[in-house]
Amino acid sequence: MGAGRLLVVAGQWDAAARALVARWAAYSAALLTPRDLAQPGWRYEPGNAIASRAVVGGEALAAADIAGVLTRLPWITAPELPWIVPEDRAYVAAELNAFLLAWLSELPCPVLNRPTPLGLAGPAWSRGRWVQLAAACGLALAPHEDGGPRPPLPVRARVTVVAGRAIGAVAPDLAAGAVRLAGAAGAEVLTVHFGGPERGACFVTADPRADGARDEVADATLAALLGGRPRATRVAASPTATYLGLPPRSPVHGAGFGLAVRDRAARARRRRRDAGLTLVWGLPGDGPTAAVLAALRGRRAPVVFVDQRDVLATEVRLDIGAPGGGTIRTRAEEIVLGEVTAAYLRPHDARRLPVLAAAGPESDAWRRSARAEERLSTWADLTPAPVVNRPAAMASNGSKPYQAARIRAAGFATPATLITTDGAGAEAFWAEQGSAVYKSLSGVRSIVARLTPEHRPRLADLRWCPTQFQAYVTGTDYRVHVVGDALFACAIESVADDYRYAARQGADVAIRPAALPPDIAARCLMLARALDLPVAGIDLRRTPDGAWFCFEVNPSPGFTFYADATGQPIAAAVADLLIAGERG
Amino acid sequence: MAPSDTEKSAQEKDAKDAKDAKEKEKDQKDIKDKDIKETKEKESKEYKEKEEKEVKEKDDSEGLAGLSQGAAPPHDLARRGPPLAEPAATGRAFIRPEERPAVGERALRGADEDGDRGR
Repeated sequence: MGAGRLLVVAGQWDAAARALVARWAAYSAALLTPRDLAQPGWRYEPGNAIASRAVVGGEALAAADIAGVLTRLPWITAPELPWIVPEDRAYVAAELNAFLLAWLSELPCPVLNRPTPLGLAGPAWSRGRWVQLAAACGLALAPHEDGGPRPPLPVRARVTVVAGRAIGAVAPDLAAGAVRLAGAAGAEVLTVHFGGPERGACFVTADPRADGARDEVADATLAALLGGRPRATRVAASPTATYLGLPPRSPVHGAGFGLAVRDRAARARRRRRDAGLTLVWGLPGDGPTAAVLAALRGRRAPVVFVDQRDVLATEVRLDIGAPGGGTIRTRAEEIVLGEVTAAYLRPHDARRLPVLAAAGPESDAWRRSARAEERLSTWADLTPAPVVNRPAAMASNGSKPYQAARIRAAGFATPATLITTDGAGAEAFWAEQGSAVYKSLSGVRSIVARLTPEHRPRLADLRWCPTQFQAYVTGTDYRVHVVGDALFACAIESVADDYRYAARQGADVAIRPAALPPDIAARCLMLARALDLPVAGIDLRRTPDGAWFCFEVNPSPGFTFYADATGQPIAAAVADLLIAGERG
Repeated sequence: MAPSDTEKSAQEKDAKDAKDAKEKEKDQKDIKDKDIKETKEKESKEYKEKEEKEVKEKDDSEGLAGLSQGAAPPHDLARRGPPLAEPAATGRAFIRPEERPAVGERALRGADEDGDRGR
């Protein structure tokens, strides 16, 4: 590994990253910034990262020549891409994040930190989530700390953990706590901030980046990069599995705590505890949310609906040291989260709600909304109650090539894929495959379309953003909804490249219930479990010669589109799953 | 004093004219109402057809629509340096905006309407 180059992935103005590159000049260290991803020549075939080619500082670099990667970039954001036209920036940022998540995950060399769907540099959590984990790791917290709007303590001491070693002038108990915290977060590099260096000082926050200003940290990081054992692609079942060091939870049969509280009499609480209570979070006009609510109510299951439209009137507080505890105060009531026994989450992008769209970015309304939703997400990841689906588990869908590695691990074939910024490379792939489609890399939806000669002029635009091309697979589409242990499969017949938008191509769509071969059904169940998704919508295609390909696993499936066409009782099954979880 | 025949005739004419004017006004109002009704019906029909056409598309979101992917970076992680000088923005994604339909529009569009708001 010593002959290869080191890469430091960072923002363009990251002075500490530049200092590290200079310090590691003997190892031909180079800085990789988002600008480098807007260069022709990138080439990555998911599943074969060792053969991929990067472009760094204008030079092509084979992945096999990369000895190690230090990532200091938690996410790429739209403002960091001023060379992209404004209307495309947010999309390109999402695509670059999706690309780097997959590529850095699969590189065989040491990568510090190995990315997760929650951050390119490892766990880029909110302070509130770090506070929860710090409490679980026995670190002292400031009085009344709840990770809330109260300003955090000023940082007066910090310690960086590198590969299990704490570096920093702090008391031994703080150093040991920082090592525990890094271990619990699954971060090989973590800088932990304290209110002071003395014994018992309070935790303030953590940062999955090395403190680049310290020589000792830089040297320890270098040693970890050069001495670290290369890894095969990490195919974790779920980021939540290691969270807090808790044993894996059954997504379906979680421990029920009892019931929610509406500031009513204890007698009412006891009655409801017996029945359990499901929390539903979303928009009333959303098909799947409305269908699940109706099914729960039809079963007379106690349910509390947190209407996303009221996000600005929703206050969420989380109990520290008691994962799953806290309260939600809405216009109508107060919900004790520790008494919620199951949850169904299907929020939309709150920033597109009229009230928030009108308020605009960086407004107080946006911040309040983000705070409430971030806490609800934190709660949903930590509660022992079953959740459909946990946000951390859903995050794998933010990068199709990243998720594809998990799909292949479950035994499904995926189409031949090339992600590239190179027009000539795309042309060659297209010629090799005979017919190819293009689609987004990220969770941003794009209409899947086949390449045609009319696309040639715009292949020049590939240089601005890595784009995903896949071999076109002929056959019949199948949509499989996994609901716990149940499967609802349907076949979709359409001549459109993307049946979801068949009308735009003037094509029809016919959806009918279908049966799956037992091995494919078993694989679907295994895949959903591996992704920690009790409810999932799996997109398959069966070729005329009987081969099955899997394209994607949707973690928040819009199942009503299929249920309306087939009559399959998917909402009822979801409701039964939630109720079973309540009583589990 | 009783009105003369001429005056009577003039009064009758005035009354008739007033009645005619009222009828004309009523006719105009009817026509206007009819036009408005027809326009509304036409618009409603067109809107409905548009809605139906849109419904044929799969508008439901299926991913992380409302959930951040750890997108709230802790404290200083969001600050990467000085504001970027704005170079000429010429880069475009190969996949064009019109190929990236927004999802969940119907649910979000109904966000200001009264509806089921809870239990």
